[in-house]
Amino acid sequence: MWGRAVIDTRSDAELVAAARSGSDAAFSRLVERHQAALRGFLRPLMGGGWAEADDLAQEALVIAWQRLSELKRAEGFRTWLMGIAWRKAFSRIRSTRRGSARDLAWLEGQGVPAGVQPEDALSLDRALSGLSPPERACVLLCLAQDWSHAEAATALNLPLGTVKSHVSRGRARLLSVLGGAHDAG
Amino acid sequence: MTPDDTLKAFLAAGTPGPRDATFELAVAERVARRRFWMSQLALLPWVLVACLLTVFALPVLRVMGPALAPLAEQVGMIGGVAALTLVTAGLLVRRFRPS
Repeated sequence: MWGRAVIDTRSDAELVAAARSGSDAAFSRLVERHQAALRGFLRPLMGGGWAEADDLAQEALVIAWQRLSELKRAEGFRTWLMGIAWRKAFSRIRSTRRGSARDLAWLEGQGVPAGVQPEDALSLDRALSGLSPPERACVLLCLAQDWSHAEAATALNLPLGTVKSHVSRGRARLLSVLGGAHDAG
Repeated sequence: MTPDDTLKAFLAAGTPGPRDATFELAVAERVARRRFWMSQLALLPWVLVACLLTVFALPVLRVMGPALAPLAEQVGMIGGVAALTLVTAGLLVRRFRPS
C-alpha cells in the first residue's frame, strides 16, 4: 500500500464523503483513526474478555459502513459511531443479563495497568462493575476518553443533566474505593 | 500518584495502540462479506422477475418449441457470451474504480 507511509490529513467529514461515494480506502482511514477509542470504550464497558468487545467494535464499524448515508453531520462521525457501538453493547449486556454481575475476566485478561496497585485495580474493577451500564458508559467516555458531557450525551442519547450526574456519581464511587472520596465532586 | 491519576490509568488500560493492522483487516473482511450479501439481496427481485417471466413464457415456448429448436444453440451461445462479458466488465469496473 503506497498510501500507508503518508499521513492522511483529510478530516472525518472529507473521509465520510469519500467513503459514501464508494471509497474503501477512505473508510479504512476512518477505521484506523477511531478503532483505538472505540475498543478502549467497549472493553471495560463489556467486561468478560476483550475478544467479545473487539467483535462488537467490528460489528459497529460494519453497521457504520452500511448506514453511512444516514449520517446527517459527517463531521460528527466519531460521536455517531460511538452511539452505534453503545446501543449494540447495551443491548448485548441486557440480553446476557450481565450488568452489575460482570465477571472479573476483563481484569484478569488485561493484567494490572502500570502505576496501579493490584488491590486498587481489583477494587476499581469491582466498583466499575457495580455501576449501571449507562453510568459506566458516561464515566468511560468523559473520564477515560476526555469527551465533553455534551458529546457523550449525543452519543449515548441521554439528557445532558443525566450524563453530568452519571459522571459525577460514577467518579465519586470509583474514587471512594481508592480512599479519594473527598476529591470527588 | 493521585487517586485521579490512578483512576485515569485504570480506565485507559483497555485502550489498544493507535494502529492495529489485524483489527483493521478483520473489519475490511467483514465489510467485504456484508457487501457481498447485500449485492446478492439486491439481485433477488430480478431473480423473481426472471422466474415469473419464465413461468409466463413456458406455455408459449411449448407451442413454439419445435420451430425454435434449430435456433437454440446459437441463442444459447450468444447469451452465454453476453453474460460472460457483463460479468467480466462488472469485475473490471469494481477492481479499477478509483478510490
